[in-house]
Amino acid sequence: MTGRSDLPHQDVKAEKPSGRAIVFVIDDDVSIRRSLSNLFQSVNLDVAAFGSAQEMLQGDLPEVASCLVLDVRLPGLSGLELQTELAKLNLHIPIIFITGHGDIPMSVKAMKGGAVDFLTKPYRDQELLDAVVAATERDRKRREVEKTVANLQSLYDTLSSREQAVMKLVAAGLMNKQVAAELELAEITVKIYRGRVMKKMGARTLADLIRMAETLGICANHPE
Amino acid sequence: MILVFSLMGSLIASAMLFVFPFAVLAYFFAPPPFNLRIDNPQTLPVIVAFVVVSIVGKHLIEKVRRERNVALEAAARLRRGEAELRDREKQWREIFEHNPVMHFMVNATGMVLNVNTFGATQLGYAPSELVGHSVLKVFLEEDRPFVRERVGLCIETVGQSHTWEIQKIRKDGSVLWVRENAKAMQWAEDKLVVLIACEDITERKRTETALRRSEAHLAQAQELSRTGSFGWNVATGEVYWSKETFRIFQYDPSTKPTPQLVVDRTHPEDRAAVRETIDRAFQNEEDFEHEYRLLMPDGSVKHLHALARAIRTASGDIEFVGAVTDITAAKQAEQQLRRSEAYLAEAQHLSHTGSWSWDVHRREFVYRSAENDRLFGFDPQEALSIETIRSRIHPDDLPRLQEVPRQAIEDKGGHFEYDFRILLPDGAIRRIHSVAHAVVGSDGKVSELIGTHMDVTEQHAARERLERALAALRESEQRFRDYAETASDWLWETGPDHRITRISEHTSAAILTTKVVGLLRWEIAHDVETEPEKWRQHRATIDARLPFRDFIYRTVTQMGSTIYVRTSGKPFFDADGNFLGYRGVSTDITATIRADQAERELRKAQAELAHVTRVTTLGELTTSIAHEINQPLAAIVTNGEACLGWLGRETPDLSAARRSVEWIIEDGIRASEVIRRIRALAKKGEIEMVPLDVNDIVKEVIALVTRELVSHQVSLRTELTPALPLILGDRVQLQQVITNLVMNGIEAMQTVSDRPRELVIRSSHDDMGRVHLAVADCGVGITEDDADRVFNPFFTTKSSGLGMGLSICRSIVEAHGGSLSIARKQEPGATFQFVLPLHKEVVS
Repeated sequence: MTGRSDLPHQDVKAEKPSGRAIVFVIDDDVSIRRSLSNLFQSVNLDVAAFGSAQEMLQGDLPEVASCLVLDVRLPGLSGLELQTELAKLNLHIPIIFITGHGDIPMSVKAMKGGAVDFLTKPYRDQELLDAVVAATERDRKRREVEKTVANLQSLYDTLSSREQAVMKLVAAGLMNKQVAAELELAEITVKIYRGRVMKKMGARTLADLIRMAETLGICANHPE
Repeated sequence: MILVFSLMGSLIASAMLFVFPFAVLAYFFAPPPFNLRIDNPQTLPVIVAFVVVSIVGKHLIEKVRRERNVALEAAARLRRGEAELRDREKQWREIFEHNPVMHFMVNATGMVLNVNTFGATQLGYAPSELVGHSVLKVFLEEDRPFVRERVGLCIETVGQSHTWEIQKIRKDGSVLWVRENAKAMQWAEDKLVVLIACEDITERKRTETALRRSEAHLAQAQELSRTGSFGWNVATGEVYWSKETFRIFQYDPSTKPTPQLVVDRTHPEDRAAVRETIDRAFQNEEDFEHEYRLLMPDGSVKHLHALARAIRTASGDIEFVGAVTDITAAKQAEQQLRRSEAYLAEAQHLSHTGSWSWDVHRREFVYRSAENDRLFGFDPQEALSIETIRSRIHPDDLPRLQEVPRQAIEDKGGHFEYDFRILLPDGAIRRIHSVAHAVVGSDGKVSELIGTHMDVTEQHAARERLERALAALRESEQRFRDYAETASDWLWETGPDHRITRISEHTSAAILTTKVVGLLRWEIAHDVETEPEKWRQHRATIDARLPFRDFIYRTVTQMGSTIYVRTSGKPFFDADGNFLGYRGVSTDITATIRADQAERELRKAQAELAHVTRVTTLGELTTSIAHEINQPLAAIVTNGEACLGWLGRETPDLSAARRSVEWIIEDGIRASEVIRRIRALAKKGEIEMVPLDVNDIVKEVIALVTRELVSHQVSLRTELTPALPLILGDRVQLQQVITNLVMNGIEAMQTVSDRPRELVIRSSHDDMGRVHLAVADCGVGITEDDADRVFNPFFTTKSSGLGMGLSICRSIVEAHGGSLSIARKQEPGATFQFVLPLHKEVVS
């Protein structure tokens, strides 16, 4: 029960075309684990099934779009704990919780923890498939956003601290004169920094820069 | 020459002279006198004849001479008398008249011819009043024939005097004794008269009578008292023995008694003493008294007591006068008495019986036997005061002890008994049973109490022991009677017609309806109609005269309550093999039946309860159970979808589809298995005791509670010893027990957050082959107080739940012959474990 599943068709990584999504299944119940794997494979999803959360954590997670189908009540590390644990590891894999009990507080907690869906048994398999597809899509998008952000971040990291400060204030919609006042710089100096920022960040327009700042989450909530 | 001498009047001289010649002749013509021989035989007759003639001649001569002398004398006297005769006659007349002797002269007819004045006066008559009258007049009527006869005798024997003593009557009627001397004589011509001289002997007669009487009395007294009297004049050697003395010494009364006779008869051993006594008396001239024995010719021994007084006679001699008493009887009696006294004393000692005699007036003991004193602890010499006696009597008994004799004295005699205790100075107590009677004195009052004290201490103790034993026996008997009565077995006998002829008493009245004698068993029973087949078979059995055993039927008691009777019987036959009936025993088994029923009820109730708790547990497990069923169902559905997916591909993946269907089947089976298991738990079935492996049951339970463990984040560790011996048990109930323990363990760990929630199920077996199963949690544990109560029904620490779980578990385990307990351990949590005995058949 607690051992790693050794079902013959469990390992689906082998037949997947690279770049495809992968579904992680954790369920202590062999039947469930096996039937879910079977289902996902039948719709050309790669599946990685585990008997417990710990087993999954032991392995490296592939850098592909994926989602996690998880029974709330798991032996050892429970579903919610695994969710917390993954969050700590900054692994933003979308989680679809499955529960036979479907109690509200647990669902709320799960959703708050970033679960994408919450399925109560008995659920229709299509619902699960839809959820899985949605989740993987979402993961893919997230991964794309993450990738963009990472790029922006690296650009952002090339900025000097003065430039970064100017960028935050500009992205916040301040006029050059206001920025100069804020930073106690000459307006002209601000213009120079702003030009460098625009250049370094590859922003063609101010709107671009503002969106970049938002993406990076560096929009200073200016008190005004 | 002889004749000459004879004439000379001397026979002696003549005889001498007669001898002389022979002497002379012999002298001269030797041989000497002793060799006298007469040479010529012819001369002998001559000599003899001569001698005879000489002697005869001598006698004749002598006789003639004597007669002549007499005649001469008489003549001379006559001559002298004539002269005096006349004077004499006058004198005689005077003498006659005044002689102090009564003289009567009567004729042959008894008529008084003459009487002297004295005689008449003595009789109170004047002579004239008697003369001419019959002399019979002065005699008693009854003596008159005797007088006549005497007078006649005198007449017949004239000249002979006759003497007799007779009574005479005076004129005044008084009587006097006289001694009469009578003689008939020729008076004048041919008339015969009788002369009678009477002497008044009244006084003598009286003395004589008195003496005779006293002699007779003395003799009688001597004879009776076996006392002889004796007299011994020492000086003269004269000895007098009374008749009884002779008798005592067994000498002929004609023997002349001497002191030597006494000594001769004396027992050899006593002779010296007797002789000494006599000698001393003789020398000292003093009284003596001694006892000695006689050895009689027949060898018997007599005991004598002799007492003598030394009396100086008128002549100045010492004379011993005494009495000798045969005290043999007394001596023997004394010996016997002494012996019997010894026996009595011994008997008293042996029987611890003391006898006593109490003088009522003087208020003291007249007699106390030695044993009596021993009982009271008194010194036999000690004079006893009432206080002393009372001090020895147990205070509690004193009032009664005073009352009983008092009552006896009041009742004047009679027999009375009482018990009391003697309190000895050393504190020992003797129990006395006293039997006494009161002796009434001549004054009609009780003078003395005579009784015995018997020491019954031992008997009392023995009796107490006996009583205790008896009490115990009675108790035991009562117990057995109780047993017998409560066991309510009774014996019965039926006759050839199967009617009851006899029934043992104690139960018949109490148990059965009034009269069962004369009834048939099926008339007593109350279940004949409801169970006809049973009775048909029973009647067939007894008709076949076969023994039957443990036949049970129902009836009612007198009180109307239903009872069950179990009866067994055996036919009996007489010597000829004729069937006489049945004998058997019946028992009231109502209680047993009721107990069986009750036990069945109890078992049923227990099973019900177990079932209820089981169902309750199932209720608690609903989510788990739902999960257990939903899991395979969900898998089935999913696999079905997948299967469709595989088939719906452009090139259907048949092998994947097949695999999916196989899994569907597996999961379907799994789901039905869960349902079966749950149904078994929910089932209200009969208990099925079958050989089981506890490990299997544990696995089944785990299957059921897994979800529960998971949902409570409890990890389960199993330490199951393989190849456990089989136990005999009910699978469902044992599952229930283990489930219950597991669920309790999960519950107990609910609040645990600082350590892993781990539940351990451990199975093992011991040397005796018993199977142990422990369920250990690391939960909150059980407090000391609760440990005693957790198995009580309705005990619970949970907010929900019946609290029946452990109670039911324990009854289930105990019904399996095992035990369920809490095992203590150091780490937190609790361990419940049960032990089940080995399945016997497996062992054998």
